[in-house]
Amino acid sequence: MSPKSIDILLVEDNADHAELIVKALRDNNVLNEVHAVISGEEAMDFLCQRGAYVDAAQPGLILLDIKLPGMDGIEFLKLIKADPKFKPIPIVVLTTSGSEQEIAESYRCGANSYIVKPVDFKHFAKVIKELKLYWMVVNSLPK
Amino acid sequence: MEKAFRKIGVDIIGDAPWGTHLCQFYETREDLVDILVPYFKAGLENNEFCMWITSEPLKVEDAKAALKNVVKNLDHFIKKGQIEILDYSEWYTKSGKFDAENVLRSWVEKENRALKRGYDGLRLSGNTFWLAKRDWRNFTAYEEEVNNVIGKYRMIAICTYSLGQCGASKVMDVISNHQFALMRREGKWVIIESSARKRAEEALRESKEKYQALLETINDAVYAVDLSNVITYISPAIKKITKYEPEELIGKNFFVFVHEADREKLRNRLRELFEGVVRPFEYRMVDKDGLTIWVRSFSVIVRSESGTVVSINGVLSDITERKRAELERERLLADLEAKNRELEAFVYTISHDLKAPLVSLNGFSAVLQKEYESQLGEEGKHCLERIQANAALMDTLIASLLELSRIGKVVGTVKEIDVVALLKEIRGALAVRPEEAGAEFVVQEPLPTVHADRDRIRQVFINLIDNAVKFRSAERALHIEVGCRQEGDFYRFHVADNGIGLASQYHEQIFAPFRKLHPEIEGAGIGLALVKKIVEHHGGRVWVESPSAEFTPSQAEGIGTGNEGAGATFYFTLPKERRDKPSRRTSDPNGWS
Repeated sequence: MSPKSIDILLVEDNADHAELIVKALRDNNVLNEVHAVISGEEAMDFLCQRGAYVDAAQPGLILLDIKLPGMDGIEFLKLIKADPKFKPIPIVVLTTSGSEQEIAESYRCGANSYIVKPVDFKHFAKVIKELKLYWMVVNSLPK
Repeated sequence: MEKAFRKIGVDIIGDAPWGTHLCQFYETREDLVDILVPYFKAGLENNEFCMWITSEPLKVEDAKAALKNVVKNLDHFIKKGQIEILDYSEWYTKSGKFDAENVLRSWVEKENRALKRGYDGLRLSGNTFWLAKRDWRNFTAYEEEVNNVIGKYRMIAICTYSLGQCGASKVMDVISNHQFALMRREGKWVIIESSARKRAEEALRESKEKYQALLETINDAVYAVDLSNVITYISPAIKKITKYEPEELIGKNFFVFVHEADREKLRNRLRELFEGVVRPFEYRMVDKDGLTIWVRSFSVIVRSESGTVVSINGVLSDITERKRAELERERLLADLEAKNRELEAFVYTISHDLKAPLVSLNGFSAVLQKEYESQLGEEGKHCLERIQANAALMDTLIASLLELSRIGKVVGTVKEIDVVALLKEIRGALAVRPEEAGAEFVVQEPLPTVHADRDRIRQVFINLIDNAVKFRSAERALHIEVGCRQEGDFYRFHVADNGIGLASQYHEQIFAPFRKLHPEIEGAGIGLALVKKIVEHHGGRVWVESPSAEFTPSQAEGIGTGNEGAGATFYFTLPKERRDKPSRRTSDPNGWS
């Protein structure tokens, strides 16, 4: 892997959805390291490199499910964007409903983009392009 | 309202109101003294200005002497100016002869001045002995005039006539111009009333009785309140409304009986009334048992001839029952709306929650298909296909449920929509293009512009036209027609087809969610339910007629005469004027918003 490749943090409480997302990425030769956590609190620990995540890498992209148990997705979003250390990390919100309200609120709270689940690779690629992360996302072997 | 009564001083008369005009037939001087002395005594004792016009046989000095017998300090009264005793020549014939107009005017002036000086009114007597034959007709005319106008003034008059001078016809003249006559019969004074007057009095009494009876039987109370809000009159019906007798209310301040919380509003309303705004007003009162009642009153201002306000009169109705029903209805409506909102929120939440597993379902079946299709075999592939098809159906169902639950909540902006343009636009959005189904699609122009939510109306047309295509007949070419007609305040649109139609027993059912008459034809069964909800939300209604009435025989070629197979026309109405769904108004009976 090139030194420029980024780690991806996936915040998703639904194991099935997480599995499908990772599969979609892998099937399309996205080989970046994906770290999956199942709650906002865990994600915080990961970012702050504490608890079980003392040695965690800093992600270059966060995929955030908007509906989370405990700390709500929006709450997490606000916290991250309020912290100057984490503010620059691009966050893509994952939503099942695609409801205009949800999306509008996400943007208001600082989300960079959104994808409606199910996450199909075409959409993922489009978002990555828009976020100018294209070269950070590794495609090693041609399909 | 009754006039105040004055003491006449003559036993047989007792009390009589201002405006009393009577005559006395006398034979002797004593007759005059008998009546007039106590008459004027009573006048002096009751703060009335007195004028005694004398003539033979009782002249000024005689009169004074006779009166002094009973009123010891007569001189004081004369000096004070409360009584004038004059000879007829100084009053009736001052200018030399009798001038009726002048005399009448003089009486009115005297009355006016008396009132200004603080007296209660004018009490007078005039002796007519001096009347010569030639004056008779003039004087009678004058008496008639006095009789007609005296009611307007605070005057009491006794005109004295010598019986010796008056023959039968003169007596009749006199009696007819006075309210009643005093005469001696077998030594005693009696009152004689003219029969015309008797009949008039009788008629008045009857009318009063009728009026009173009416006031007692109607359910509304009639009232009069003065400028300091004191009740001066209230009819018996008030007992039915407040349990108070009229006597318990008259003389008291009206506001005492008005519910505390409504007093300010009522005061404001009264202010409005004085500014000329006349309208009914609803408020609460407290009845004799302390219970709250709702009333509705309608008041008017009563002014005197000079324009000053003298009273506020009106009618009061009990509307407690109606008010209770109204408040109950509002409560139920609010309840219902709350329950509706709850239900919609519930549907919304469930639909969302159902989506997550669906995402997984679709995701894994896609993986299965992609990576293991070759290992599945025919039956395996078929199972997979059914799994995916049902997942897709669930998707549609959930999306439809979401749509349904959102209609009430999401109020799209109402704009003017050019329906023709709209229809052109949606042809691309239809699930199956009519042309592809070999259909003829006709739009009957012109179509009006409507005020509605563009996206939703678009949905309505899409759903109806999609249905027309879906339910086409295999036996003939499909015709679809969209048109509009004006019906009063509404536009009535129709989407007609010559497809398989539907039997009349299903005409209502099909608008229910998930109601499918033809399970083999794909669809969630929610399209028409959506159409109904959208149209009703705009204030219109939707219905279907099958067989279709909109096709001419030539267009309907091949259409059978049975119910099924004769096509269907869906009608829906939209109000011409923009009308929002009626919302619950806050309870405010007085119109204060």
